[in-house]
Amino acid sequence: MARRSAPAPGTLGRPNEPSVLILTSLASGAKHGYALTQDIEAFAGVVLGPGTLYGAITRLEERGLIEPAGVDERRRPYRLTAAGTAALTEAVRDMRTLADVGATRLGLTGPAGRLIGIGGSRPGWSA
Amino acid sequence: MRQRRGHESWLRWYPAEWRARYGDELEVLLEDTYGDGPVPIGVRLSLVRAGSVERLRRSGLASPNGARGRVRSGALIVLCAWAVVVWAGMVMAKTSEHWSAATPPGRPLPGAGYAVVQWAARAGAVAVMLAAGLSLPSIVRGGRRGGWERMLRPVVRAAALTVVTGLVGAAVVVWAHHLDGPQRNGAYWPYTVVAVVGAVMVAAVLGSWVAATVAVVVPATLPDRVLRACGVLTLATVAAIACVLGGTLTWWFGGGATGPVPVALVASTLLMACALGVAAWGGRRVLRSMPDLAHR
Repeated sequence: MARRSAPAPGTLGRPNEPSVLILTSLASGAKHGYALTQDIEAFAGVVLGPGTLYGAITRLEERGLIEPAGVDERRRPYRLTAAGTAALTEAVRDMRTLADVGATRLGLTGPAGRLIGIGGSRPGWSA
Repeated sequence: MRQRRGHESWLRWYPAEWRARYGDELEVLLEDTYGDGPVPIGVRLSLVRAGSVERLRRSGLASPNGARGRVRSGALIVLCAWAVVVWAGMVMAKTSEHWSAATPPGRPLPGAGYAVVQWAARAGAVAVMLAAGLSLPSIVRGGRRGGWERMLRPVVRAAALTVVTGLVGAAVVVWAHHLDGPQRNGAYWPYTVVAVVGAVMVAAVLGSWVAATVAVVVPATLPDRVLRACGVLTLATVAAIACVLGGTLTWWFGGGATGPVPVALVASTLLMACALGVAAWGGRRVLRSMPDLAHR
């Protein structure tokens, strides 16, 4: 029986995992908790609950992938560290590889390898 | 600056050190998201779950890193399950008092089942004591390096609870000698109430010692050979728990429990089954991590 393996140390998980979503959101600049949830809902359609969000923030900070960027009243914005940028880059490359293989096998690639037949209306997920 | 609206009450599920670091900003997030309105029930449950997970992680039982951490956390999970089995076994022993006198002759299964329970309980106790003995030198070394203060509090708490429970237990035994059989077995409600309180206190003692063990073992650096030995003893404890449950069921369904089945027996057997599930989870973690440890 196939089983899901845990992500290797230093790597991220599946594209819809909170850690990937948070890093993707922070790639456009530092954000605090509320701004993160709003941004993630806008670009991925995923609503992260407060418990899930702060569980993921705790893990990411422990792993040195994000860091606080000062304090705005009682809010604390976070930003990517160099390690976080590298981890997100690797995750995006993996996702891109997966998307390319899937698109090729489904016959969705047109000239110059561009995806065809996909609306691509969701920001952040277009080819 | 915004006024606080009482969302901090939902943070009590998180450990104190986590609240000190993230509590304020999580509270602001709840204020930003829900304002003056009530926090939805799903979000409350999510906070309870996330806070409990955080407590579990900080205890060293969940999401450990590396083979060493996984073996250690697996062993501690099985220890938690063993404590539950000890408590359930005490309830089972109380409800099965004088069973052989009440069982018609010519039924070998109850006797065999009861013997399996007793031998498995002894084997499990020996495995747990051996693992504790093997870990002790490393724990003492950790204490000498400045960890006594952190270790002392949970150990003193457990010891104090044990002394109080022992004194209460002794008083109850003296009282019980002035009561007749039916009074000791449910006909006299004050004694029944005290017996239930006593059972809860024993559960608290077991729980406090498990918490103390987790508190002293998690920060300790156990050598690989000790971890390997503890891993084997952990698997033996899982087998002992399985045998205790199997023996209990054999005793029960083989005819050991005559007449109406006591609720306490049903509850203790269900507890044992749950404990076996938890122990299997911990044992699986140990079993899967032991090969990595062996190659170090």
